[in-house]
Amino acid sequence: MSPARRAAAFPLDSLPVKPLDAVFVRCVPQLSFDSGRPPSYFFVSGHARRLNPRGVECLYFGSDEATAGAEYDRNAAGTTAGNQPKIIFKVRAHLHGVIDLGDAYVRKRLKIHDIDLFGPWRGKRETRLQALGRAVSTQLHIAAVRFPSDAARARGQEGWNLAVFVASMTGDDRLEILGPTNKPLEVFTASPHGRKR
Amino acid sequence: MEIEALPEILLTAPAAKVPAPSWARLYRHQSATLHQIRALRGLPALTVVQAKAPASLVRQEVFLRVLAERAKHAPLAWKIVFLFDHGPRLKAEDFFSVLKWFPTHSVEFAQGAGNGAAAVEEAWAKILKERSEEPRRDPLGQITSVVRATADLRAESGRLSADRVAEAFGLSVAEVAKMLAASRQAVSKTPDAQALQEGLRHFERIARLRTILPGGDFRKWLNLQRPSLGEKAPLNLIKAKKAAVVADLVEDMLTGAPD
Repeated sequence: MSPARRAAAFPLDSLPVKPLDAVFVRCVPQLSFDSGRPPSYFFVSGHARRLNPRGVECLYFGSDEATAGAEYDRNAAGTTAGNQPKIIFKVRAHLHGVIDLGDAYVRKRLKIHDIDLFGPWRGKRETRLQALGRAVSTQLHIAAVRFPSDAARARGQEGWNLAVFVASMTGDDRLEILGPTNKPLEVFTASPHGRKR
Repeated sequence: MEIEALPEILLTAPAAKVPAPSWARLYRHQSATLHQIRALRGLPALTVVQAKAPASLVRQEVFLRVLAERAKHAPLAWKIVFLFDHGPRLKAEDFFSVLKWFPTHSVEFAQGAGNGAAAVEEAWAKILKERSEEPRRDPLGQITSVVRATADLRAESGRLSADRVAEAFGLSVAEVAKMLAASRQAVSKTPDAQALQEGLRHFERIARLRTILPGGDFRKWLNLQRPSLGEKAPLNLIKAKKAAVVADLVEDMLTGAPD
């Protein structure tokens, strides 16, 4: 079955979808940010990640500092990377529609299992979660997917990640990087011009 | 390849009011006046300009200049479709007067409202084709500290050098040559050959980890099993010609992307 046909097989229209207005967190090495040309906080490369196949632009954030920290530390274990200065930044996500893979009913409807959420995915052919991401990226009803963090789970914690599909953001959807004042450091909107500083 | 269903279109015109044609309902679209375009950071992938005729359009020099300026901040693959009213058959000089404002390959023309939808579809298909061919976006490659961390992998020529990569990864030149599907003799003779650059690029992306893991720690990381790689060591995957998988993991580590 082609990736497009697989994506079409998800019953997205009949899933419980909720709006979201909440703060999420990301943890990055400081060295990436303290140079002359820092990247946008909204870094999108388009390579495959747990919820998106290659070519589908997606932004990921953790539900809290503990989860973002677990994600950061996950692949640095056994080295001194964990001792390096880190930056934790917060993003307020205001999105019109989110599906929650923490909901057993949603998982059942989508036929998503623990192996999809917590199993290795790198280097594999398009996974079921990535096919779901492809389906989400081609509609406007759902802008993001909340899913459990495997890194937090490995630490015996409960933590969540949010995958925001850039192409599915519409209307007033926006992501704001919170700063020291009421003015966000950077804003990512659904408008054609996308991000603003 | 999969065809993305919903191109995002910006509709504009030199006239203050921008009427949305009926075919525009098929797409996610937004109308913008010249004033609103000035406020944009850049054009989206697909912009449709509606005008009476090329002759009247080129008189709107400010409009074209603003469009051309904002186009510089458009995504890597983008198009502007100029949709002219149905009228006398247009000639080469008419098109040329508009073309001179923009990169030729980014401009499409159509005449008559009935041809608008087909022109947009054609432009969208070309954007998708260009996207599939364009090099990866690489914002990390613009960060001074990240570039500095891999500077030693480059030869005097500025190109990546297989012998320097081998040293950084604790490999022999013969091993690197094998991973690049090249002969050891050829790699030894010209380690920074142009033909090797694409393969060496993955090694450079992996070596960016030295931004946070200098020296011996980087090599140690290469040899430690990683849960994200199915409990395989990165170096084993690299040797199995899956360096791109490791490079993506490193990019996620440097950008804090959840696993």
